[in-house]
Amino acid sequence: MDRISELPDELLLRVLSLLPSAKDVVATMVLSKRWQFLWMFVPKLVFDDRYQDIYYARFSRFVDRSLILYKAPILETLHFKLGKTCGASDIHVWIRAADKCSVRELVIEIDTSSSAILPRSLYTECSMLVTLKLKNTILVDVSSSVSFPSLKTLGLLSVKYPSGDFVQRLLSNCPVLKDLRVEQCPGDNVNIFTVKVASLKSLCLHTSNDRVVEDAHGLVIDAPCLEWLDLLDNTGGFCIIENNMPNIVNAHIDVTYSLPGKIMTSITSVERLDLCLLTSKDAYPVGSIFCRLVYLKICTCETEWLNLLMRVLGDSPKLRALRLERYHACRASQSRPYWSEPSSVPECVLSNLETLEWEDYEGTEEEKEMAAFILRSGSCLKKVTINPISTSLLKKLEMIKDLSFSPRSSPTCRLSFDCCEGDQ
Amino acid sequence: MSSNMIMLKSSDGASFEIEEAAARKSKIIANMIEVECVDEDKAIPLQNVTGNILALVIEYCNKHIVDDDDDVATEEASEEEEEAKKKKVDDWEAEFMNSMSLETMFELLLAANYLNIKSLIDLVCQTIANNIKDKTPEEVRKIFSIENDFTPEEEEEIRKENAWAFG
Repeated sequence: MDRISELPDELLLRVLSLLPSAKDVVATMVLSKRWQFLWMFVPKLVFDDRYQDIYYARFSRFVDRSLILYKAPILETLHFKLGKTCGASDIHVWIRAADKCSVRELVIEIDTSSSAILPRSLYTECSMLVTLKLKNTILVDVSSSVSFPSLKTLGLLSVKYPSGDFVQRLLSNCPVLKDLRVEQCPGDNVNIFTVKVASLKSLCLHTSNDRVVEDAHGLVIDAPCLEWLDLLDNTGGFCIIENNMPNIVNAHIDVTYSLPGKIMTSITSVERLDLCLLTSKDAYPVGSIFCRLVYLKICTCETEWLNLLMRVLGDSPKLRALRLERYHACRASQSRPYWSEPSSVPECVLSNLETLEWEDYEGTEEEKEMAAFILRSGSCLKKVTINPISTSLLKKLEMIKDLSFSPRSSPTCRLSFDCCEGDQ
Repeated sequence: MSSNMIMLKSSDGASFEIEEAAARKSKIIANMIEVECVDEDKAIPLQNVTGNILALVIEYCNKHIVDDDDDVATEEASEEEEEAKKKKVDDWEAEFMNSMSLETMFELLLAANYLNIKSLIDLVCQTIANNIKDKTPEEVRKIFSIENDFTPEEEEEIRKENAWAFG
């Protein structure tokens, strides 16, 4: 026999499960007798109706038959990527089939140009599901009970819901949920997105900027076991955190709330923090200490960033690495940040800070002052990397000159500029 | 870095010295180390792996252990650095897989399976899958020299019965 056909089933099935479309998997049945029935045991099937230019009717028949002929007792992953009008009745049948194949992970992605109403059977007939990911789908209300007893991972990207209450009901019926990822889209019928899940470890909540600002919109989070939080909401609503989250290790907070204080005080155990806030004074109450924070990243797009940075530096005694970067475009009307030399050097700068990376460095007075301050006071600094925002080579050289002559308190600190790349 | 070195012996008698940390990429070898089946000065015999394939396995393990070390050193590495690092590993892996014949690839896969090195199994399987993707059955047969043991009538029948799959 040829070499590939001699491989054990387990390895050939691994190969088949890495094919991006079930079409390629099923077609292996004609290769030789060795392959004829192998595809029926593949642990992962991806049905992609955009993959090949085929008619929808032919596609749906392909899915039906593949699932009917499927033989393994458990289908680990069933993934649909649907583009054109996909019939709700088809999805209904496929969800029934998924249940029969004991699918563990179900992914339904609909093309952005359309969306599909998911059948109610999804809530009641997929009790085996461990992972469910939906994109561009419409969920409808059910009178019967929603039940996902084994669901650990849930992704809801651009999903439309019947109401905010429904979301709450859905989540409260996922008793072992660990990982939740939500991207809220415009017109999703949810003003207040409430996440109350006691078992949750990881939460990513993003709100689309295109959402029309309704009168009351915001987020309510009650997840006391959370370890990882990623919050993105630039629509200026609110976020209520009902309980502290003492296990938080990693947080990414990018919000335009005027009062983000409660978020910040409930994540003081954080070790890695990524921050973009409108305010520094109201960012969190005086007296909060981030005693485990070692890695801090601050976005430099808001006027307040410099003040915010100095506050967090002052309240993070263990900080070892700092990165400054601009994630959002600055508004033209925005006033420049204000630098004032702190009365005392933050503890972390004196005794822990080892690296500073600065992306999009502009070399303004305030930025120069800040960089010089860190170089002058950072006695443990090992490496400072400055990456100037694209500008003329001459200007870059000037920036280099300015900083290279700044006094440094750490004898081993290396200063490097990334200015050889990009336009010159 | 001066870590423990261990010896591996291929089925054709070639001996290789490898850092214990790299060898631990193999679940089988890691288990042997755990239960102290490994004698300081005795090589671990690997009956199912020839010298030239073992050399590739070791090259892979060494490459990946270096990367793991980097991770430890900069625990607070930024996402950007991690991405850059991942790209470097991806490039190395692509080059590594590109440099070998299909024949070698299958032997490497069997060795990785025997030694239980999951990431290497995945890498080789992905490379094989890339060779099947978007190809007609005829093309796949040709690439992998798969002998078609159906009679023309049998094949015709399968295709007819499963016309839905070949639309």
